[in-house]
Amino acid sequence: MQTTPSYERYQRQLILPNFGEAAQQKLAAACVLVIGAGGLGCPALQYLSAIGVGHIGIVDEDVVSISNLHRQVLYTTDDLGKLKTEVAQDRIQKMNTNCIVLTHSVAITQFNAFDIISNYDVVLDCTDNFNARYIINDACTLLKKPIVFGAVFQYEGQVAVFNHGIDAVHYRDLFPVSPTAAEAPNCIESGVFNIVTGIIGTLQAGEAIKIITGIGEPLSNRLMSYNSLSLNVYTVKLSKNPDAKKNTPATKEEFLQYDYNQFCGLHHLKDEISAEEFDALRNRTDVQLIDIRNKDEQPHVDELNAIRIPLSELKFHIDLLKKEKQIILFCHSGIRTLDALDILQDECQLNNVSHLKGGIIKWLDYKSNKK
Amino acid sequence: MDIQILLFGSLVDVFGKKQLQLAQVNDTDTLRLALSARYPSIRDAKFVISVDKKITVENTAIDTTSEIALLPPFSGG
Repeated sequence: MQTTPSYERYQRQLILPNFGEAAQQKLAAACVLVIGAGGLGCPALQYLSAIGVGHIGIVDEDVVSISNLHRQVLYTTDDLGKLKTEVAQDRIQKMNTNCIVLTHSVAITQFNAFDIISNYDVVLDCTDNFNARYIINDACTLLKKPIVFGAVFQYEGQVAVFNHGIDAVHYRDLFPVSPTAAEAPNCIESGVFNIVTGIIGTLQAGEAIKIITGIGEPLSNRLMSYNSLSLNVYTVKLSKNPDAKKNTPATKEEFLQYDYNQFCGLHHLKDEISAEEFDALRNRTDVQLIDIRNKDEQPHVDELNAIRIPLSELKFHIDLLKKEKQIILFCHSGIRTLDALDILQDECQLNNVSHLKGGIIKWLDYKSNKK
Repeated sequence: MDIQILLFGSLVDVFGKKQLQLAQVNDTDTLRLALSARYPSIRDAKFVISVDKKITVENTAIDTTSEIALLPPFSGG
């Protein structure tokens, strides 16, 4: 640590009040896990590496796609189709050669969470779905690891620190009941202002640095909401929720057996058709394609022989659905079709319906990668 | 006197405004019922109620001076 190149690299932070050599050594010894290398994960990884965190782990199963580039600032057009973990590892390793970067190119699940998380001191939740957020929360709570939580919606963001400090609360104390995917849409479905992920991800890195070094007051037991349009920041205090305890797995065994799909309203997993399957099925005569997007919604795809029945009108046009065929529903990103499945299966008792996972954009993506 | 309610995230779209006025209610449970009665579309929406910048985890008294906010969970990243 005392060598001149390191001193010069970190000089501007070493001279900060209350920072100094001790804080730098704590950072060099720290192991930080960033789960999700997307809009939040990219800036978080950059700042964690640049400040001198010694060991950084990156969890993500996805490859870089073109719609990521407006906010996932570690990636370039040349990286399309490459694993995010590997590109991110290469970039942040080059930014700071003192940093050891490990990749976990998988989605976080209840079956791998313990093995991955147990090697780290602090976990950044930079994911984009509730299933992963509850899995991370429960694993970290059982393993007693602090979580720096970040999430975005359009022009707004949330940051919080869980499992840290006295009478520490966690995500289930804040939201004991998970919304379904349709109730709280992600960036694909609702859009996101790119700088919001930049700011929230950067704040997450800052909270992790504060936890490691002991400087300042982390957002423990507090939730900060940020609005990029008004530039208002609204911070509320959190406390233990009696409803949280009955839903939180109390042991590793309970955690492994927990039904996260059911809890997060993902009971339609069995009705999913992948983009590849969809591509193979779409021209068959025993298949009927239903586009449930609104009338003028883009992208318009001429080569799909689909009937357009907007979700809001679906109930009134059941007669257009062919009971003898396999019906495949699609929308923009595969979120609204979950509501459509509820309507058709539960209310209309149709059992020949499935939906395109990831929606029309996933299929277009699949087609362009196939070329 | 009305109570003032700050809205966040998707709730701004649901209510069509950033702030709500509602005839006074005495506690957060009654507030939830009053909101569902007046705005049926939010009946299934998930959100937590904060009173004076504290997230409520049980029924909590409110008055016209209370600062009330409705916060939904965000999932994007």
